[in-house]
Amino acid sequence: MFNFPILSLLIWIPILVGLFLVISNNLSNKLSEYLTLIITFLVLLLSLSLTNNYDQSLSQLQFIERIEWINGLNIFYYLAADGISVSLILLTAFINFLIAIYASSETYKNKSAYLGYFLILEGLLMGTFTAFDSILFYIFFESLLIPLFLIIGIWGGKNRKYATIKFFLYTLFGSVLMLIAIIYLSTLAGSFAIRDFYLLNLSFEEELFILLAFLIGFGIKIPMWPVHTWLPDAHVEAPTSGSVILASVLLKVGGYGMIRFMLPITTEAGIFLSEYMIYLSLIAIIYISFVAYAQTDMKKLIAYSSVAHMGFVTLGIFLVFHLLGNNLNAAVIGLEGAIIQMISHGLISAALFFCIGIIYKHSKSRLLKDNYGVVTFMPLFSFLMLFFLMANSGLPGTSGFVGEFLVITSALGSNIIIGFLAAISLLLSASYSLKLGKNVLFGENTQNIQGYKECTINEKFVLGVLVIFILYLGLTPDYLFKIIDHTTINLIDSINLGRT
Amino acid sequence: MIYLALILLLAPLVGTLLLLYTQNNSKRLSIFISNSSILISFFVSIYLLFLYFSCNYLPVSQDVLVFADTKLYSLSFGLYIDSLSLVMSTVVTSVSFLVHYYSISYMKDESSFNRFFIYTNFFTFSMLLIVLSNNFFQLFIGWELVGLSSYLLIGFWTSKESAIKANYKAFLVNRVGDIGLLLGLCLVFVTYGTTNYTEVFNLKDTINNSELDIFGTSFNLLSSICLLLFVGAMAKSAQVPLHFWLPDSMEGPTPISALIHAATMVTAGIYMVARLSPLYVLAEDVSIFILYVGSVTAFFLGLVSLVQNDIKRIIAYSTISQLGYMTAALGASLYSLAIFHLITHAFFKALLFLCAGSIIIKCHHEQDIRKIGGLRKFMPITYLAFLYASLSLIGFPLTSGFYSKEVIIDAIGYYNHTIPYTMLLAGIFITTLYTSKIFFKVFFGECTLHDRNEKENDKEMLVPLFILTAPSVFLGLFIFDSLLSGTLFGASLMSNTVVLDFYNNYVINSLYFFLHSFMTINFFILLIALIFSYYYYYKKSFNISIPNILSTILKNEYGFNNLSTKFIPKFQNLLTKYLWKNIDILTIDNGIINNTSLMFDKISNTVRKFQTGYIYHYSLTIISALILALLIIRIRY
Repeated sequence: MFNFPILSLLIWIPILVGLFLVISNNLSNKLSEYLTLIITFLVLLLSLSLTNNYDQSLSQLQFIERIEWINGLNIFYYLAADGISVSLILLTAFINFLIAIYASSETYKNKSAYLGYFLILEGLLMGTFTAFDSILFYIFFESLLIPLFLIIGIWGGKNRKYATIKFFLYTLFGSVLMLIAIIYLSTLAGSFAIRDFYLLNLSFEEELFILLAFLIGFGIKIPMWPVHTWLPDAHVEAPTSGSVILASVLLKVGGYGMIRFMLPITTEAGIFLSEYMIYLSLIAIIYISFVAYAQTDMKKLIAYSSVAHMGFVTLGIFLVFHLLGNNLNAAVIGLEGAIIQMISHGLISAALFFCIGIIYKHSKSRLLKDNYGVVTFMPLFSFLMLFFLMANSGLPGTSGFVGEFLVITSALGSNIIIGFLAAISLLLSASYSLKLGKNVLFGENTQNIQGYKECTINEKFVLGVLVIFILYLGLTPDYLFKIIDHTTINLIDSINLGRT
Repeated sequence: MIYLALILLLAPLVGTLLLLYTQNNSKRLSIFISNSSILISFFVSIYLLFLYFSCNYLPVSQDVLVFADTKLYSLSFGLYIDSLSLVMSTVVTSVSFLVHYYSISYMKDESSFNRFFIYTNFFTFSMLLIVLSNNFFQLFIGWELVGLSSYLLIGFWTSKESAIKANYKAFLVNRVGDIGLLLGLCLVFVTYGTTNYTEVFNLKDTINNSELDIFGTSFNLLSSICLLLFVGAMAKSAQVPLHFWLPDSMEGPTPISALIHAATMVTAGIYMVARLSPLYVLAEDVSIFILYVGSVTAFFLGLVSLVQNDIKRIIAYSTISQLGYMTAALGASLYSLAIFHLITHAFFKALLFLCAGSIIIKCHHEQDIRKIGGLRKFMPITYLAFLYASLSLIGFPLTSGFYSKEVIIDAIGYYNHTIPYTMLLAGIFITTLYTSKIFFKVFFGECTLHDRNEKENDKEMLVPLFILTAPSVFLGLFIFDSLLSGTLFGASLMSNTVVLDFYNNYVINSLYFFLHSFMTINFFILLIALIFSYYYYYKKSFNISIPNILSTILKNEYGFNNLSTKFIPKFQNLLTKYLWKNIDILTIDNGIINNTSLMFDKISNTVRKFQTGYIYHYSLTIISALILALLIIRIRY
């Protein structure tokens, strides 16, 4: 089979080059841009070859690298990938490549360090999605905060201090609880490997506390209502590419963790609490959509819409608990819907944050009232942005629809009321997405005091590629289904077997 | 056959893609691409229809493109070819082609000429996606894509404020319906494990007895599915109470109103129910609901058009009312009659709208019929076309509208649905009044054109009027017998027996039906309405003052206008602002998060005081602690 350590390369190439860029202060802007572009492209190629070599018909872990790391404590450098990891690795590599292309239309002081942090972030994300040793996972998971903290803290907007501290403390709080849970589990299992945790026989009380720790840890990351308030602030202060990576990949770490840890380890407690967790997801979908409608800042609007869309991810995951034992097919549909929703939201939110960045570049304002009539001066851009907004509102034919459709189907498999409440999102997401389009893109604007100008070639490329992939996933997502299908079915089956 | 059908479906899509790469300045090229792609579709559709009937094909259902094929379930795009889908696609492509041809002249001064044709071609594709679909999933996709095209075309003039508001509203109201449709689709998917029509129809009996539990009350599963799907149809086909987007959609260019908001898209709901008739036939309680929704719409929204003065708004309300007739027919399980009226209505209403477009262009975008008059002399061809379309609309004997509408009313009367029957009968009177109102005001009376030497419009605009006149007048008679006796649609539509029984016992044949109609109450009402409107609108020999309350209600369109332009937006603004400011910011952020950090601040400030940095403070603490410790030890031992 495949003998060369592709996962390690995916992690360490971007991290090392990123460190080099951060340290070498006097690298010229052009050079650092090219270097970033080359590295991200290389990583993209690597992850494509990973996908190509991934055997979809197998459900076990692949590309395993397992080396003893800290002898006495039984901690391993244990990397591997399954279908869920592969799909998220592809998303990470793809989004980072687009960020590297987009980089030349941003102007920042000390650009080489800026891009360096993005490369480090990319490597750490790859690590998070492939680590199968819980300590290794925790280290990657935790260190994700550092580059993003610096990106927002150094290159952010006016109010960046408040936003970064809030963001940092919020997520740190959650992950500390998670660390406690991991250490507790490892003392019981005598090993730090995540897969060994699955075999543990926990008492109900133990499960309940571990579930809560994970729920808070990953729930803050994803983020779930009511621990979502760090996200809009962080987005507003972050530079464009920072928002892109935050919304499109970093939030997915939360969903990934829930699938990897919560579903198999704390099944019984999950079933016990599933109803309440589903309510939380529904609140995220409906209430946050209302809040999104009230926003006057474009970035905040999309940030809230991200929370609402991640509500579908958590709903799909928690529905598994609800459906175990009575409708396994619907459970599989729900979980696959959640994963596809993560990938799709990764593309759509990235596209929207790029669009907002482009508008901001011209008008120097992100407020709805300062931007109007863009279509007169940027017809192509407006066409693309309207497309992304439509995708955001779950238009069929775009990827935004597929995940929501599957999750709603799964919800109807358990209870029609849950399905109905989730389906209201169809109306709400259209109302806030198109409100943005109505106010910003359309309307009369003869003066052009904002100085709108049609996109540059690299912006066109970035948005165009995103359009193609959103359409591809919306029309023939079969390939993505194939990647995740066996992993999902196997996961649900093993959870179900573990119960009986 | 399946390849031909693929060409039929994909030609407009290819047209759209080619147009995307066409520069805006080459008008001739975009005209060529857009028109020829629809024309290809039309010819293929005609050919297939011919082939289907001449060779006695059986319905074909075939999957074409895999959407997702996993271990547990699969979804795909596919085609379903039978007489119903072919007849419908012929109607769609023919009207679409004529509107495209008409638009060449109508839109010639637009700066984004190309964009218009991109949208219309895309619309035709999405509509065909619905019509030719062989599963619920594709139906939903097409359903939303026609909504998207409608959204784009209503807001075609992007800097026109009212148009932007109208398309936002149209999209959102349609989304309300889509929630129902999506839930129906998901419910089908999760219970049957497939979304394919034929497979679902085969399984329907096994599932018919299943129950669905909502808050402890159980409902019949099949009825729930039908009801949810019908909610989608109510929004798309503008039935009460989800109709109020349609009059506002008239902000778009007039050819669009003809194509999308009269002839094709709004009939998608009717088509869907007819397509799914094997399910609806079993859901009797839902059918009754549909019947009432249809007849209420037909009567009450017809009334509204009496007080309107905008020519396009009148015709829009007339469309809603006619859609009500079709819906009522669906509710009475007269599926083929609903489709019959759908077909004839598509032609005569498109004609009516295109005539209105000609008038509006001639009058420099004046749409208020009080300010238009005496056009008969200047626009003789439009005048005649409008006359024929109006006769068909009011159901004047021998015209298409007569056959398709009378037969619905009579059949509903025949099956003793008294209340709907009465409302539909009263509808005849109203239809006649508002049609004659436009007709007499626009073509007779004082001439209001500035230039007395105005002539008819270009030939591009007149040719479609000519062509559309033919089906508006003759098509009804032409297909009447074959349609009612069941040879046209055969097994595609359920409950042939209901229609057949009515046909054999009441209609006998088209000639008998025609002669018989002079003795019915329908004709009597029509005659009175015609005489009344002749004296009231033309001769103006008397004046009727409508009671104030009634006219206010009608002018407010039963309050739906205020509801959608004032109440809902205001409520939404207040609610969303309240939730954001009070819950998100005040409670969660300031109340919990920031307070926590403030609390930590306070604690650490207090604790910090112990860390003074003075040696004597520390040594004092150490010494006193030491003494305390020693004392404790001393006491305990």
